[in-house]
Amino acid sequence: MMTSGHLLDIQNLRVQFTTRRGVVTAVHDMSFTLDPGETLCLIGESGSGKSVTGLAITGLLPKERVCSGSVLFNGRNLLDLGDRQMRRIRGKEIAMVFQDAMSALDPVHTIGKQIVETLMAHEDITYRAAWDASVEMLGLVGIPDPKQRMLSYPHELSGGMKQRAVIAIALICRPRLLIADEPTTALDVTIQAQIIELLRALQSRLGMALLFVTHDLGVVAEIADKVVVVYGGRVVEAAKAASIYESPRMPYTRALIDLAPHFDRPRPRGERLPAIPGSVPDPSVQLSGCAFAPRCSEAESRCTEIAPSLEEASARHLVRCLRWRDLAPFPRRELGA
Amino acid sequence: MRWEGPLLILMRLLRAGLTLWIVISAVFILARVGGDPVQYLLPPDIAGPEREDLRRILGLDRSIFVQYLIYLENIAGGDFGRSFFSSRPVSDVFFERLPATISLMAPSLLMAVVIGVPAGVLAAVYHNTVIDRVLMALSFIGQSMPSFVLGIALILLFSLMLKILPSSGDGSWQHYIMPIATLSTILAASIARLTRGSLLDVLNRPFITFARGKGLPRFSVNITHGLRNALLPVVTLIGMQIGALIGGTAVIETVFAWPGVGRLMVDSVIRGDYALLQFGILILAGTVIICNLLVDASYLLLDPRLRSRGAA
Ligand SMILES: Nc1ncnc2c1ncn2[C@@H]1O[C@H](COP(=O)(O)OP(=O)(O)OP(=O)(O)O)[C@@H](O)[C@H]1O
Ligand code: SF4
Ligand SMILES: [Mg+2]
Repeated sequence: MMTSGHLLDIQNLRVQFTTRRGVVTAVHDMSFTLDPGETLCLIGESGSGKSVTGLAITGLLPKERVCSGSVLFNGRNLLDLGDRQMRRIRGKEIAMVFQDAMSALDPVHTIGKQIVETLMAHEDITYRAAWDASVEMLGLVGIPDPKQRMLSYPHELSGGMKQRAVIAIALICRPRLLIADEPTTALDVTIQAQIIELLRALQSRLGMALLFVTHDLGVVAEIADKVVVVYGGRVVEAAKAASIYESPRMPYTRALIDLAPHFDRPRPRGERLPAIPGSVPDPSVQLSGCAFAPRCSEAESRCTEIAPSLEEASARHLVRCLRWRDLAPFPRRELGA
Repeated sequence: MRWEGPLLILMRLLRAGLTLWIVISAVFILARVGGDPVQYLLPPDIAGPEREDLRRILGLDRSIFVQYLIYLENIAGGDFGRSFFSSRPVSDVFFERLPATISLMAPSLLMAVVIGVPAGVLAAVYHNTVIDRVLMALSFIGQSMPSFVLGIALILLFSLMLKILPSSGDGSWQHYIMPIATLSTILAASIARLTRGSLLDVLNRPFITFARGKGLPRFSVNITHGLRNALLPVVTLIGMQIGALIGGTAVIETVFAWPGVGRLMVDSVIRGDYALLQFGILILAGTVIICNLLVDASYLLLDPRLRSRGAA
């Protein structure tokens, strides 16, 4: 029996899909931990396996997949659990909010029904009590006139209100972990700010851990305790947020921060992860060396031969790069520049 | 816009009326180019003058156009005429046969839904498994087999070879088995296929992943959220298939010698009984049109988005 003190402890998670074109490895080697009350931001380019990781944790991936490694939640490996046991954890202990609130709600049922059914699936509670608790939760996520909104259909709400309703559904059972996969990208900027504010407030109020997938460096700077940078389905750097901003070690992280000069400060939201030259590795191709080598300005010849492993560069600062020791310290930017 | 709803309903009704008019006109013309009914009504050895008398009595001596105008005028007055064959009012002849047909159609429709929808759900939920493949193979066969072939095959097997079911007539409950089985097979098969396709579509939608993420039981994910959203095209199909079912009864009632309106229509074509044929087609077409209107109305029940558009 593996045990760890963490709420969530992912070790060497690998996810492969069997597709018509062959086996696709969407996640090669994902490892990170998350403690109660903590916020971890998962960042990386499109296709780097962030969503797949979130879905693997909750067991929501399609059946044509193989997961290996371990996903310990409270010491239990979720990958070993059956469908029935997993169902008891989903929505109750681990909740998910997706990018597209517009399509997360079932168009033919009222908001009230969709939130009540969640509570009733997990708790021995009367319909009446579930209804009252749901009204209260809608109020808590800042939906005005919650009693009326219980009877509304999704299409009768604005985008921001829908995402609030989705958050209310996710939080109705007071989960210990909330996985939010780009929960604000589909919303306009002012609404984004409100939703982020809301998530932060609810997080500290409910004491839950937050696994936050985002492209938005402004959000990262605002909310992250820990940052995990993924590239090509692997964790390439993971550390406390401050440690990442001050001394990024992996060339990919450095490139990102170089291109986003105000990474370490909150800023107008909506700014996407900067695009660095080159393209994402094809998940159906097996590489021998470092996956980042074709795009890396620091690459040496051995980089295409030896696959780097995740090493501890300093206390709790993990980096996957053959050359991290040789690279010059990252130039500290003057604050306010 | 407030006028949009009533206008829509008015348009529908106008269209329904137009359809009916086209149907009765077409039947009127087709029946008359089909041949002279008098030759069916009188034995061949009756002489010319008597034939002319009968023709006059039936109103067949005037031009088609005049006949048509008289016909429309009579319909407008609620007079659908008398059967050339039995001289009784066509509505009497038709409606006394209707219960026999309804007692076939209603159970067939019910059977088709009760078998087709669950089969489609199973195939979709167990997509790409043996269950799915077997169900889809069966429904493919069911859908592509002409109903008279199936009917005759059933008669051969159960009546002639095994001698356990009666092949014709409507005397006992055993008489119902084969006609209902025949009539419901094609419909059940197409309902199953459509339910499967529609549900597969829905099961890939993000709100299903979210519903699973809420930890809901499988039934609730697949039925409350899945099937409920997949139902619209299925209801459309059922509504449209009622027309096909009515057509199917003509074949099935003939194959099984069933005394319903389907066979009555076939008989009245053969006997040149225009008045009866015209009345029957009018009622059957009207039924199909009403079913389609009911399907439209059921959309409002099934999809709240349409509902609020109508109300706004
Ligand atoms: N069901 C699946 N079958 C096959 N491949 C898949 C499947 N789901 C995801 N993938 C592949 O896995 C890789 C990682 O996808 P994922 O959605 O996790 O990326 P992401 O990091 O979330 O990107 P984005 O920022 O665009 O959301 C992609 O290359 C994708 O094509
Ligand atoms: S291992 Fe080599 S290619 Fe990979 S990031 Fe480090 S320096 Fe660049
Ligand atoms: Mg994603």
